[in-house]
Amino acid sequence: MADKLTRDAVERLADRLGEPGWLAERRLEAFDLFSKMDLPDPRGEEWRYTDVRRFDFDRFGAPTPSMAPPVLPGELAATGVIFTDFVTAARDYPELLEEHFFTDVPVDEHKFTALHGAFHSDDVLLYVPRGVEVELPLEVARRVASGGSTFPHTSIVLEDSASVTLVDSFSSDELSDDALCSSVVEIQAGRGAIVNYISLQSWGRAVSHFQTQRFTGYRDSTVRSLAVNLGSSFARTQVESVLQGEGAFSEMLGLYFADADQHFAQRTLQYHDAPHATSDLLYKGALKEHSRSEYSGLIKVSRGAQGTDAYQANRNLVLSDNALAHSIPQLEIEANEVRCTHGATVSPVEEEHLFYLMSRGIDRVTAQKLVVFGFFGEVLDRIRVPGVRDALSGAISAKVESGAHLEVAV
Amino acid sequence: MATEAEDLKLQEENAAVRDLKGSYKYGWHDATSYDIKPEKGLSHEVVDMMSDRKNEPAWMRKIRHKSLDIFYRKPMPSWGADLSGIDFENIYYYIKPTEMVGSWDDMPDDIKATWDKLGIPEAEKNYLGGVTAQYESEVVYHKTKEELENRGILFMDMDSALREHPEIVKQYFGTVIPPADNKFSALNTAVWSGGSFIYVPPGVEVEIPLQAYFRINQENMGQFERTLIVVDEDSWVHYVEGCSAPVYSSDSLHSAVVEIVVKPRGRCRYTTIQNWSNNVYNLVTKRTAVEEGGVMEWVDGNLGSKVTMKYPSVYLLGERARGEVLSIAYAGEGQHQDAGGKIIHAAPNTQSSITSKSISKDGGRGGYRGLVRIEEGAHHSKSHVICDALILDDASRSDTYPYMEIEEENAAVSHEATVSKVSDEQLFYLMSRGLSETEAMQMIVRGFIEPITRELPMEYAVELQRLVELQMEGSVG
Repeated sequence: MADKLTRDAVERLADRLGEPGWLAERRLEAFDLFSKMDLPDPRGEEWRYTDVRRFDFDRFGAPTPSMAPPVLPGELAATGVIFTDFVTAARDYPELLEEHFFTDVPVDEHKFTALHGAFHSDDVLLYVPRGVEVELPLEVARRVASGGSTFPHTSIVLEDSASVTLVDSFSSDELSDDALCSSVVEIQAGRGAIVNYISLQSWGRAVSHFQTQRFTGYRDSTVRSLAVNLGSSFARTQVESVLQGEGAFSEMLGLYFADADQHFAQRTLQYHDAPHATSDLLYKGALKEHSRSEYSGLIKVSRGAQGTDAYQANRNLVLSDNALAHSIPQLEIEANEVRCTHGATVSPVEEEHLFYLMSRGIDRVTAQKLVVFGFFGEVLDRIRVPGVRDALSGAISAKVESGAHLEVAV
Repeated sequence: MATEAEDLKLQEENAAVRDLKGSYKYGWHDATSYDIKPEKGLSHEVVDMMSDRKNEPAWMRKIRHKSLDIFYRKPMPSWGADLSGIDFENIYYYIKPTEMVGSWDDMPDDIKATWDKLGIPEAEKNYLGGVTAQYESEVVYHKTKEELENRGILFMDMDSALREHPEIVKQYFGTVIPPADNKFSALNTAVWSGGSFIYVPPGVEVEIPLQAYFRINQENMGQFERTLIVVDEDSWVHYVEGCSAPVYSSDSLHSAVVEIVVKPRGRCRYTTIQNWSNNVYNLVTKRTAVEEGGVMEWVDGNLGSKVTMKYPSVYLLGERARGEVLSIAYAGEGQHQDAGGKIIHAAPNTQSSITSKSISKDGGRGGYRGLVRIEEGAHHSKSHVICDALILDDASRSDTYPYMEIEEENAAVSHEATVSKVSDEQLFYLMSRGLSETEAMQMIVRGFIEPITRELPMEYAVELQRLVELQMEGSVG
């Protein structure tokens, strides 16, 4: 019998990884928090429509770290770029790790982040020194065992004028037993830095997926993100961009396609805490069969964040009678020299569009596929990594046809 | 080009506006001797006392007691505005100023002076089909034009309706908004007093608006009027309410419940120009049930009060029913306007739209909070929501919380919102045409709220515009 998610399992995990004492202590503190905390209340705004009060953690075995350590392409070694796991980082770059360890997503945020704090493993630290531009996208692949759990942590630190792209994929086959993923992503973009972070979630249906992504952009930085949800039975993704420095820019893209009884909950925050920053958010999703999705997004503008330009759009395409979509775009504005706009739509495939295509000799399924592609095109066109774009096109195509599970691999 | 006479008129108007500037126009209070003024505080004894005085049927007394228990049980809302300043024990729940009269001349002088200052008798003469005037807890004046009475329209205060038409009241009371709907609807049901009752028989169109005016005069007053409107098949009615209160240092509470039933193909428009003084908590539940082919329109203007939480709702229960909410909120110094609207599509081919305009200034907090819900089976329903906000200075705040819950594939729902400031280009353009900065700003704001004002009867449009302009005086530094 494998270990469950217990305090002993936390200790054994720290032992096996051979972590220094301070890391192991932080794990135990997080576990004690986890034990004390209640599950999130769906009556609060944060977890509205997402009732996890009966979430049973005893179903899952403790994580078994399995990820191959990240590999830095040879030519980058001399540039000072660090791309490694936490265990290695704790040994080789302890100060760097301590400085950026759970700084943006505190473990006490809710029960799932606390559990993450206790069991984080398969961690990645990506550090890009001042002025270094990494051209090729770096990749990390997360896996989970049937009946098990995984708590991957991604921490990206860019010094001034650095740039990098990371593709973080979370994928598995269809698993026989329930599994859990609770992931945290923290990104710090220094002055003028450019980061592009892509998370691709295509777990098998047995997996429940919880993720919190938080980005901080300093002066004139650019943070681009794409959050994709295709797999798992239940996925909650929280993506937050804090525009901390003047002139910062954040692009936030989301793409989701749910079928059968999949349930996706997405929460975004565009937090303008500095003047003359710009954020541009587009989340598009399609829903088939009995699936449901929630999108809840907030644009928050601090007092003094004059010259803010914020845009937020959520579009839902409903492909079946029984699908259900909730959309809650929100604004909280405390500055007056701002331009904040949001729009949300939920609509079916227009019968006229199908009719037009079919009158040209295209069969109904193909016509529907074309409409869905047209719908997602707006997001796909903005993806800057060709491999990701192609992989997503394939996955969307498979979903329209059969709802078949397709692992997205880049 | 303006003629000399027009210039002169403008000057006079400006002088009048200057006189009013800096003070709340309706902020005086009158020393009034009351018929009944019990102690402050809330209890089952207060409920019994009210029921006794009103000589109510037993079923109503029972509902009141039950509702008070619900009120005690329900927690305060944890969302929306800060309500921690409400002290339920420091409020008068029932004050009876005088017996109701049928002519302004019979009104006690002190109260009549109030109505004269508010211009109500004048308005009744000129353009209203009927007037109800409520002072503290009771309606003190009521009059309906004879021709309306002859056509079978019932327009009276709620207490009279309970005596004269108990069967209609009993049939509908608490059916659209049950006591347990929320804490404040429970409170209202427990201690309600006054409010309007309207019944429009089938096939009758009421061309001229019916009006009610609500006035709070006493410090720490709680006003809990209860309004019930039933619009029968193929009928239509327009009801208008206005509200004001004196300025006091401690707070009053206004917590109304308005229930409306629109029968097949009926149409109701309900217009509110709320101008409570800045020490009134205005926590109101308003809801309409619309049957097949019926139309409900809420026109909701929130200019006054310290805190307003009000989301006029429409439940579209019959096929092809329509609902519309036009909401304007102005939040000045110390004000929080949490306004909005709610539409529930529960039948096929229903349509709705919500248009919200909010303006924040001098540290005020304005906003929109709303819900559009499409129930499963409400196919071919459509809804469109537009929220625009203007923030006039850097101390103010605007919030937008539109909820969309769609459980039906064949439905189209869209939402757009924009928050912006008055652009320098717009100001510059108007000033280059010879307008002062204040005039230019007022003109832009007037244009901003125009989608709402154009829906109001002329007298109210002018009043609303004047109120907004008054609030805006001195907004340009």
